[in-house]
Amino acid sequence: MGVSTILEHQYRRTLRWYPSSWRAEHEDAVIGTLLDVAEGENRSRPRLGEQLNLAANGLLTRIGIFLPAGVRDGVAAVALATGAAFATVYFVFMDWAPWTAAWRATNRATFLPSSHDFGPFVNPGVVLCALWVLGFLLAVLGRYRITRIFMVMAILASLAIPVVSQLPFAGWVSPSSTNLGFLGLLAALSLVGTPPSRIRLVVGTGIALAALVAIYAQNGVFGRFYMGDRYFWWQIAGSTNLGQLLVAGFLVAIGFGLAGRGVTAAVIAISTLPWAAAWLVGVVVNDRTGVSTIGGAALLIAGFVAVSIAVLKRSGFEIVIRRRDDSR
Amino acid sequence: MADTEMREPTFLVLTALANGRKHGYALIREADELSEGRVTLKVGTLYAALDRLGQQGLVAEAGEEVVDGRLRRYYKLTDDGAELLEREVTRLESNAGQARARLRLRPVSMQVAGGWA
Repeated sequence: MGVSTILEHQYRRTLRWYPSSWRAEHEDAVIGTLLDVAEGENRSRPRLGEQLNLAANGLLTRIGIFLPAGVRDGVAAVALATGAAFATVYFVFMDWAPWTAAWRATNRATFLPSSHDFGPFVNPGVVLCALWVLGFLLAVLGRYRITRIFMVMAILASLAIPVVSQLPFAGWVSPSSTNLGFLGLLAALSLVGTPPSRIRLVVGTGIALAALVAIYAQNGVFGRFYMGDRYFWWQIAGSTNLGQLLVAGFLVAIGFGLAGRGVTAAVIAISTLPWAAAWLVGVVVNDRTGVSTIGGAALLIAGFVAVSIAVLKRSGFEIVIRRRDDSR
Repeated sequence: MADTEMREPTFLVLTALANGRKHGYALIREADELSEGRVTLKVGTLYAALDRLGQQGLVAEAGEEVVDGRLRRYYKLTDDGAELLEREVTRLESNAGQARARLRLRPVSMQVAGGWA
């Protein structure tokens, strides 16, 4: 087998990340370009960066079959704005909170005798917050490729922090799984597209940041007591408040869907996912009988089905249930 | 597309197609030349951009040929694509003109201070 044939075989294998319908239409042309580039650079092997780029674009093309580019870009923009604002507020109020340092130092021995702070911070969540803020700033500068690398690192950090915190040399208190999962899910959503406008991204993040700071301040988080890093999900976004917010979100999405604004409806519906996951976790944790969990899950599924049907109908699709013809 | 900003790879692809149809590898080389080596388009990124621009009606396929056993698919700029590129060029020229005019108005004292800094 010649060098060129081996290279072509390796490229064809990498292109399996793309959906078969896309490959049927474009594979030969893409292979031709890949071989031209390799020849131009006098290479006989694929570059790792080239393969990762093909894999990432292949996955995005697969997602693109279900979600148009406009929806993916909108979802990515909302996720980046929400995540950057949430991470900043989490860092200042829950992870650093210097105004509570004295109270924490006095009470640590009582509440958490076997653990210690992560340097000047309450927990290693600061690493995740730093990845988020840096990733966001890079997106504002238009460096979306590096932003994506930071978001992948944020997903990995949200998975690794609880594990590393438990290691013998660490002994830190891990951030709550809801906070980690929420920021991890937002990071995953930010990868599905590219924000269409940097100005709107900055404005959206500013609004989210101002709203979160106002809510925190109104709830007395500037006091000398440390409220715990689950405070936001217990008090501010407890099951009742968040549940009402989700229902409102679904209704708004349905409204947009019925008004023919399918892209906006889909962006809103998908952007509620991390909030819905946090709400479901809260319901499951507080559930004594299982009724709330089943009811909550049913409500969520019903909401998504309603939004999906509204969007599909408005997009010109028809949903038909027909008896199967067994005579064929 | 009018209310969204044009990213540099998109601008380079549209610019590369402005003077005639081109295949994938030619587009990568042209983007590299146009950006003076700053932007090296990866093949996956190029075809994602072409997919998107095709869906928006800004570029279109313009024939194929087989060279040395390799398929070369050509792309061309559509009228809508040319119009959008023209608008983007006007916007960039306007921004550059404003910047140049303000630099000319920069006080001499600041220029001297900058020189010493």
